[in-house]
Order: sequence, then C-alpha cells, then structure tokens
Amino acid sequence: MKLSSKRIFQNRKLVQNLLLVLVILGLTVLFTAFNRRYLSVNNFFNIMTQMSINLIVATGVTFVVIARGIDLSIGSVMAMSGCIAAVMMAKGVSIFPSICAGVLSGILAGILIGVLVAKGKVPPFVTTLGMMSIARGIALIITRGRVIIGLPDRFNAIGLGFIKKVFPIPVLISLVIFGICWVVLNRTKFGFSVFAAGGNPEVTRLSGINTDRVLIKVYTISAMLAAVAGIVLTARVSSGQPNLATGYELQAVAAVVIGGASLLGGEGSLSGTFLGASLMAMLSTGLNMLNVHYFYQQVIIGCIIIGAVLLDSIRSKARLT
Amino acid sequence: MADGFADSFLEMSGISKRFGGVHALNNVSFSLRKGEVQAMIGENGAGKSTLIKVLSGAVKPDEGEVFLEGRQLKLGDPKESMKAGIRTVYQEMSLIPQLDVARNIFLGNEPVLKGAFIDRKSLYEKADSLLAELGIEIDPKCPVGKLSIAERQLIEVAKALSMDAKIIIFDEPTATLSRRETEVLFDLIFSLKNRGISSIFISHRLGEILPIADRVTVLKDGRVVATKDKNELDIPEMIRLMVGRTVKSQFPLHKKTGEIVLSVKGMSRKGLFQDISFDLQQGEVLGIAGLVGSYRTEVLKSIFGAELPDKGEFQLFGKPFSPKSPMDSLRRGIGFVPENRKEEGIILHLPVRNNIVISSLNQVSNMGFLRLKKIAELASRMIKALRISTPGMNGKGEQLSGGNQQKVVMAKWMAANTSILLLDEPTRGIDVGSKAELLRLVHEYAEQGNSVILVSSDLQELFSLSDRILLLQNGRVIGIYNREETSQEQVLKILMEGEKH
Repeated sequence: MKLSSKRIFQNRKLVQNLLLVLVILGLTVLFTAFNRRYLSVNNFFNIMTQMSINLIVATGVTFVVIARGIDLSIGSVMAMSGCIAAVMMAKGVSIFPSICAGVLSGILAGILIGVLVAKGKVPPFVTTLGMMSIARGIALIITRGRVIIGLPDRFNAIGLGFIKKVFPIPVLISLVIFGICWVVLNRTKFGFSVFAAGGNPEVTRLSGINTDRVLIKVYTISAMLAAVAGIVLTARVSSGQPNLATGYELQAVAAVVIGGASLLGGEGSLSGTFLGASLMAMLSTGLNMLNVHYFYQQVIIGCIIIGAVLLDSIRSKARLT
Repeated sequence: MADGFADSFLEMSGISKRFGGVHALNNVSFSLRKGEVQAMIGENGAGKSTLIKVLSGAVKPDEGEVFLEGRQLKLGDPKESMKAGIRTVYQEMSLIPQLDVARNIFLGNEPVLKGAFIDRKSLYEKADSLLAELGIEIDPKCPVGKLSIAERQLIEVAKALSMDAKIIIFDEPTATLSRRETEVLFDLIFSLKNRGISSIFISHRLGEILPIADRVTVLKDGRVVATKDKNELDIPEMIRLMVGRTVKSQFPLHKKTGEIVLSVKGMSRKGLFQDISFDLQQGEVLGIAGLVGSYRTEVLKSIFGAELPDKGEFQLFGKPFSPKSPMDSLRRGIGFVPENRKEEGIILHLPVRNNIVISSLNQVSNMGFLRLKKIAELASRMIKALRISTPGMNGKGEQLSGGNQQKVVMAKWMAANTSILLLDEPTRGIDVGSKAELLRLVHEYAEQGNSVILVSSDLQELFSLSDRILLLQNGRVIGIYNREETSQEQVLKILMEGEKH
C-alpha cells in the first residue's frame, strides 16, 4: 500500500513521530559537532541505559494519559517498591521474593488509585498527589529515613549488569516491557477500551464497556511499572533510598506529552512515548557532555514540558474550531 | 402616531439561517409591540429556538435584519442584544446555586462602595424593593440552590428587570412547573405588561397560551405560518396551523408475531416518572410521544440501565430481569441511541471503524486479542449496509455529517446483533435526506423481526414509523393507542391540553 504525501500529512501521529525523529537527528548532529564522542556505540548504550527507567514508567503513564488521567505518584511508588525490596534483602530474604513484594506494593497502590478515581470519582490529580505522599511516607517509614546498603551483587546486576558484556540489562528489561505494552495497547480489547474511555467516557459506558474497570486497570499498570522501574533503579544505585526518584513523574509525563499524547485523553501512542523518552535522555546526556550544570538542565527540561503541553493545547484548540 | 411607534417596537425581517443542510429559518419576519405578550408555538424543530437565539445574539443569521425602537441591531453579538434590553429566561437556569437571591439578581452589576467593595446594605435593600414591586415573596438572603425551579424562574425575571429589560423571552418556562406555579409566573408577566415591557412566550401547552397572549405566531419548518390575534384563535385552529396539511408518507405496519419481547411493569423513579408499564412485541415499533418535561429520555435510559430505576418489574423474552448497566443490556441484546449524539453517541476524534465495532469487541477478538481483519470486515460491512458516507473507515467521527454520525451510532448496535433498539430523537438536527434514510433503516430493522422503542418530538416521524403510540406526560403513561385509531391532531390535543397531575 502506497501512501500519497497528502495522506501522510493527514495522519497526525505519523507527522508527529516524523517531526520527533527529525528533532532527534538534529540534536545528534548538534551534540556531535560539539563533542565527537557523542556519536559512539558506547554513548548510544549510555543513552539507552539513561532512558530505560524513564521508558518503563512513561510506558505506564501513556495508558493513564490516553484514558484521560494523570499519575503524579510515579516517583514515590518507585521509592516505595525499591525500599521494600531493599529492606527485605537486608533482612536476609532472598532476591526474588523481595522483588515480588516491591512490585506487589505498586500493584496495590495502583488498584487503590484506580478504585478511588473510578468509583469514588476523586479527580486523578488529587488521588495521585495523595498517593505521592503516602508512598513516599511508607518508603521513609520502612527505611527509618536511612539509606539501606549492602544489597546482593546478583540483585545489583539488574541495574548494572550486561548481557554478552555489551547489552545493558536495564535496557533489555525496558524494551521487553515496552514490547508487551505495545501489544496490549494496540492489539487487545482492553487497549481499544483505553482509547475509547479516554476519548469519551460516557459514550464508551453507553456502548456497553465497563469504564470503571478500564480506569482501575490503567492506574494499576502505571503503578506496577513504576514499581518495576523502582526495583531497577534501586539495583542501579545498589542501595535502598527513601528519597529515590523524586520528580520522576514529571520526566514520565514529559516523555508522554512530547510523544504526542493529549492531556484531554483519547490520543497518544507508545511509539511517540518511546521517541519522547529518547529525546529527554539524549538531551540530558548531551547537556552533560557539554558540561551544562545539572541545575540548568532542570530549567531546560521544565521549559520543554511546558512547551509540549502548550503545543498540545494549541493543537486541541485547532481541533475544536 | 402612537400606534405607528408601537407597531415598530421590534421588527425582525427576512431572517434566514441554515445549519448544514437544514433550513432552520427561512425568510422569517416577526414583529412585537410595546407591552405586548406574544406567544410563539410550533412543533420541535419548527425554528422557535433558533429565532429567539437570533434575537438574543446567540445565533447569527445568514440573512435578515432586526430593528428595535427604530434602531438597527447588530446581529450575532449577545452583548449587543443585552445592551439593547433583550433578556432570555431559559429552562436551564443561569443562576449560581451557592449565591443568595440578591447576589444572583445583581451579579456583575452590584452596587459598589468606593470602587471595589460590594455595598451589601444597598444590595439587599434594592433586592427587597425589586422583589416587592414584582410581588415575589422570596427572602433575598436565601441561597438560590434552596429554591424550587419555579422560584428560580421568578428570580431570573427579577434579574432581567434589574438591568433595564425591554423584551423578556420565556423559553418554555412552564414545562416543569405545576399549575399554581404557572399562575404565579403569569401574574408576573401581566405586571411586566403593565410596565410596558414586552414578552415573547414559547410554550407547548396550548391551553395556557390564550389567556396570557395578545397575539400568537405559529412556526412550521422554519417559516412563519401565521401571526394572529388571540380572538381569531382557538386550540383546534392552533393545532391545525402547527401540523399543517401533512403529507401522509407512512411505512406499512410491521408484521408482529405477537410474542412479547420486553415487558415493563410499574417502573418508577422518584421525582421523575411513575408507574410506567407497557409491553413491546417482536417486530413492533412502539412510539413514545411526550413534551419537554415528560421524562422521555429518562424512561429510555432507565430501561437501558444507563440510569437505574427505583422499582419496576421487567421481563425479557418472558424471563424476569432488572436493568443493571449498559454492559448488561448489551449482553441481553438491547441497544440505545441517545439524543445527544456528540456527547453520548459517537467518539468524535476516533475513527469510524472504532465507533462501529466498540460494542462488538467480543465478536472481533480472540482471548482478548483483537483480530484486525475481522474488525475491518465488520466495519466495512456496516458502512456498506447502512450506506454511511465517510472518507473511509479510518475517517474520524467529527469529519462526518450529523446524519452519517447517527448512522454510525445505529451501525454500532446493529453490528452487535441487538434485537431491541431504544431510539431517543434519532433524527434531531439531521438533514431531510438522511432523515428519510434513517427512518427506512429503523423500518427494515423491525421488518427483520427486531423491536424498537422510538422517542420523537416529531409527530409526523412518530406516526410514519410506529405501530403503537404511547403518550407520556409528566412522567406518567396517559394512554397507548394503535396508529390507526388516532391522529397527530388528536395526540397533540391530548398532550397540550393535558391537566397537571
């Protein structure tokens, strides 16, 4: 099937993704011009590793945003899950059950958020803001506010190890999760319902779809993936840190919105989120190599987030008129 | 001389407005004298609302001009109409329930003290005297949220008067009022008349129009049929003018097997409808006629399970059930085409394909995984069968005309193999061509042995399609007639003269 140029421009998702690819290529050229080392296999894997954590959480947030929600509890849920696993391992519990407990805590947090949003009609902004505080509190309580060290090497390998000495394990984990989620969002009844419920919840409900259940599932996915990311990040820093991942929710939402998802719901794609997360990771790696201080990077990232949402609101206005 | 001035108080001439393919107003002229109460009547879709929206500035007409006291009014600008002294009292209230009566009356127009602070003392004094002048016995300090609908309407009028109104438009103000409340409102309208303020009064209750109106304007299909003095009119004459000489284009009655597919007994919801009972036969189209405030939509939604009835006994194919949720109804083979297509029927920015298969996901999936080929097949089959005109199945809902959007909503339920369809105003806002096609679709659906409940304000449509007609008034069934036994004129007469319960 051949796409005429007119049809390509009618397909918004394709245009957006093409634009993002162009921006990414442009940045690559720019950073390489300043520093030859930027364009190397080594740095490629470095960027991939950098983005792997954000890709995992942004993948979950993509479901939430498409379903017309938002999840601000990401960073805290990451810390809660990582700390639960770390505390258990420090107490001598073996690796696998510890990880399971961490991930389970995320799943429970997600179900709670979902039920409150769907059944209790509490706005997602408020619900997840509350969960942000609760999960962070739990992380602080169980660690007594201290950093837990001395985690087993085999656990730390989840964040630091390589397969065949070149392929970083976190990258592998993020790509596998991304692949599974792509299939779920694009090829299942549930994924179909996520787009429908985000596009118009009332139409979806009146069409015979249980929208409450859809909402509970998307928040559960989001929090579960945050918990997984929390485990990977904990392994990467080889310690249980109650202050882990503060502000990660912003990074995740930024990747999703840059990827073309609409905060009004019903629109978005995982391919876009992938490109959005890539762009963020490239930017921070590139700015590091240019010796731009971390403080300034924060400002730049904030501007990009606002810019992306501004673009979204301009687009939706155009859509409405 | 004085008469000449009075005659030219408000002149609307040559007003035309098209919405897509629909001629909502076609070269309409309308005049109003100073201090006159003029009633405007006509079936739904006759163009009454559009005409008053032109006057209030909410709608800009394609052609025509309006003169108020000899001065031309800039059209399509609500602020301009407000400045000229034109106020509308809508059914949907524009009051803020949390604020008290006085604050609502003077909202945005409060007496101020030294520039920034509201002068509370003078606010309540002014509200008191205004209410007293109008004979409204309501405490200005009472929050509006605690008032009845009728009382709120009185407050709306007071609000309009606080800002120097010259013309007050009442858009079906009595639809949800009791007889006594209506009388209070009418007293108020008489007192407006004595102050030289003109009123335009839209109502479906023909019985109450003649005592209050000086003249009556009848609209039909976007044209003025007549403007007559009240002495020249009686109720049968008004109905004759509204219905006109209708061309009888009817579908044949449907073949019914006599089997009862759906039986509803004593369905009630507190404050809305009471004791709704009827049987629906296989292959039958049951029409529901009722005015605004008869809770037609709520009745349909309750059967569908989108809202839950308080009580009632239900049987589907002889087996008892109770409406739980749309999901449950879909499983039982019941579909619902809502009145608000864009808010409740179709997801505007999703592709037509998704909108068609949304209720048939089980059919097109395997263990939860979608089968894209089956989705495409089902969607294209429905697009062909219903002759939906779309830029392909990937075309978005919002790219379609109203008629085709409605066909998509119908396609959704037909794809899901429903055997009972509940239709709420399925042809509202749809051009004539699509309307005929939609009605044919419904007819064919019934011919195939399915059953339909059709709610419509368009009596002609109701009569062309329905085998039986159920009359609904104030949430009660006041009669079920076979189509041959009754006529549009008779139904209108019963509904419009009806007593309040």
